[in-house]
Amino acid sequence: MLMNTHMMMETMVTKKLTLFLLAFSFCTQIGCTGKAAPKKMSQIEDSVGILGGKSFERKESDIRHEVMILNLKNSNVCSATVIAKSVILTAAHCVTEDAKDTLIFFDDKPLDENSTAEGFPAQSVEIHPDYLGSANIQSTDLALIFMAEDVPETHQAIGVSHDSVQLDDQILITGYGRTSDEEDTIIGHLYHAKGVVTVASSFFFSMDQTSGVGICDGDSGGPAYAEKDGKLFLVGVAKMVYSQDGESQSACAETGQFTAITSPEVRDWISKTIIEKRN
Amino acid sequence: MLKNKQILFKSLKMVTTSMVASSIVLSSVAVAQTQKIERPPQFVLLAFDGSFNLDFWKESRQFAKDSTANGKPIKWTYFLSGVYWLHEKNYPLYMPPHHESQFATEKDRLAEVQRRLKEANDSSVAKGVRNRARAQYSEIGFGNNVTDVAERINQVNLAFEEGHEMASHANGHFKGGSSVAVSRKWNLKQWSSEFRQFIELIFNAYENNGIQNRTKYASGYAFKPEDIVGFRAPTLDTNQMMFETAADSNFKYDTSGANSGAEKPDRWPSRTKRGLWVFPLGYIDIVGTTKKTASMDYNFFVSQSREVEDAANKVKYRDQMYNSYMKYFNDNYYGNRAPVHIGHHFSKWNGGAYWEAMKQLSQSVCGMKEVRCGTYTEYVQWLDEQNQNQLSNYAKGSFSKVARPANLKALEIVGQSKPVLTLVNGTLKASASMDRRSKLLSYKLALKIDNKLIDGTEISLEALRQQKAAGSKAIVSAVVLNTQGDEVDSYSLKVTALGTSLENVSDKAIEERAALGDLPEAHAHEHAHDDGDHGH
Repeated sequence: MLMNTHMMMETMVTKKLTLFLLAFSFCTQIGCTGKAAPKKMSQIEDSVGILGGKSFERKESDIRHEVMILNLKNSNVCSATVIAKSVILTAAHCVTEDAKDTLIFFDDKPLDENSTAEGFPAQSVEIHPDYLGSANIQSTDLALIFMAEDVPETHQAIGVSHDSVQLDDQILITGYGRTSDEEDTIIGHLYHAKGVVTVASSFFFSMDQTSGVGICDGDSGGPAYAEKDGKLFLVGVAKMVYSQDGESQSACAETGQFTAITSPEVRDWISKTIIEKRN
Repeated sequence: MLKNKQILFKSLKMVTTSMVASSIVLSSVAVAQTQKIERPPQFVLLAFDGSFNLDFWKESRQFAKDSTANGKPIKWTYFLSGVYWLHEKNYPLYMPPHHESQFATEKDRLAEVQRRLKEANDSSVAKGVRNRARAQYSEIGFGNNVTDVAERINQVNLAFEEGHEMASHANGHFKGGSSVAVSRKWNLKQWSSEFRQFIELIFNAYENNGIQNRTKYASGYAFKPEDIVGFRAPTLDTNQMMFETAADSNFKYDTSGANSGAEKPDRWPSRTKRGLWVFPLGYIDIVGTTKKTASMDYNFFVSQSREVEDAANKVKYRDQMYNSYMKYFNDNYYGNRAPVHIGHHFSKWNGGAYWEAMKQLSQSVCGMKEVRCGTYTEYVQWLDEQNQNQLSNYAKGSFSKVARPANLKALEIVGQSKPVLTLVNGTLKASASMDRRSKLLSYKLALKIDNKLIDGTEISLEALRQQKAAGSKAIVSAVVLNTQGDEVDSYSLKVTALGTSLENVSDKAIEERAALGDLPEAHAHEHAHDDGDHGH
């Protein structure tokens, strides 16, 4: 664990009560539909991160948006988000052009030895035209994965925010990647954490991960959410980790960078691509 | 929105404050120490257990020269084998320690040397008899002829002048350590004899072979016996007696570790009680597979193509070694800066794949900030300047590390598949216990004969006998392949003397040998591709 958890304990008891109340009030606000209320950022207040963190403890009925993708060609694991009934958004560096290489998992722990979750095959893959390779910092590192059928009932599409991310905004990040730098790190479990935006532009934003909380290998393609009016919206896709001063204490405890998807250009690309594919 | 944000900030502040408070209490001492520790340089120790092949001497020297001129300085360490400084007709001038100790008196021993010298030069004795006699004195042959030895002397002089290091790989490549039977283990006296004879073979080479000294050096050498301070045991086979003897002699370091296969690639060197530095080779991952190997070329050859030349797949083998070496380097460079040890031979297995991968590695890392592709002696000098406290802090990685450059965040996973071959009623059957990841990644079990895929997952010995000539050998491998058709793991058995009464199926997988060190066969090949007509 890269970050102490014990200091969280003192606030836990009161927080749980608050969470319950918040969740309840939120539910009444929008009118409960029988399914669980969408996640709120305040509900994951006590989380400690994807890197060095803990997993979602969710009920079966909780709605989720996150999926794990496995590329059979290069054996890579990435994270991704459901953004339409049969469409998944991830990072371009997570996919290869042949859709047959990509499998999608809707389970929270699909790599576990005792898991029986099956991978759903991708039908087609669309890479953003401005993706110039993973090494190019100017790349728009996005890809859409289309499935032959709708996502299972456990999952629901998340809305894309129209508001660009600003400095000091809080974001919620989730992913199936490494939880530590150690060789025996957990991978393939859905973890979550909160972060604060330290660099923001219309094309990308970053969070400081030097405290040991943030995205790491395998979280690529995973979502960054922001809260608006008590509801979560998708604002970014995990792209890379880089170092600002060239020094670090561990591989991922540096700066996490996300491709911003809130700009009209990116949102247009997403909707146009979906419309073209589905018509 | 605004209200929400204020609440969030308030709670964030609270968490931050309590975090700061606890970290001050818990780790103020550690923090104070951490700040003082400077980051150590990354040593990359590129060495050869080779010294026979004259073309390789020239090629490796030229490569280092060009690379250094290009801002990527390289200094090799060459571990020499003393027998190559002896023309094969004079082979009895070296006496392996286990032969030597058979003689009660020095007089008896000298009589044997004379008898053998006479036999070696007596054309009335059958050539086969002479060859067999000579073979008892070296596992790796001798120098071809006088011209060949003279050129070798020339090469080591030039190499030394260019800043490379000459070290000892002993003489006849015999095992004298813990891997052999008690009666064959060398004691203090025997190790001491082997070390002494190494110095004699090198520095008496002019006299032993009747070569005239035409160099500018009175001794005929650019270096002195005192400059030989490093040792790598043949087949990396050592015992306590070896370390004791080495400490008594001129040696400052030993690079024979890794036989156990348990050495971690980020291990910092330690010192024996007698002050000898111990530098084990890395036991590293072969990237893209679940295999591990010692960081040596021949061991990749064993692991990748089961000691069978397969130049058709040269690029695949080269890239896999390069990627594995780069992982070894990156993990240490961005980690605790433990040295990177690469040990190659003067050989070009699999079409030269490994020599190319070693060169590629050097071009990727030598000349990088804080990287020193230097000799072992340079490394020892650096180590000697550090105190014990510094060294243990380095080993713990208690310093500010260099951040890895922005990297791909996709995470490569590998399934554990553990293939095996079992002999049941005259049929070799492949099986594998695949874990969930193997299944998710669609791994497939397959069978290879002599590295070629065949249909099915079993083959009878009878079918093998029909396919191959009587008396020949076959390598049968249970392989697990990924969707790209690359081997993720393998388990191979050797069938020898096919179809004869001596037919035998090995009981150990060939792959196990990859964890072992420098094998004697690793030297045979440098003779094979030498221009000389030396029969091996």
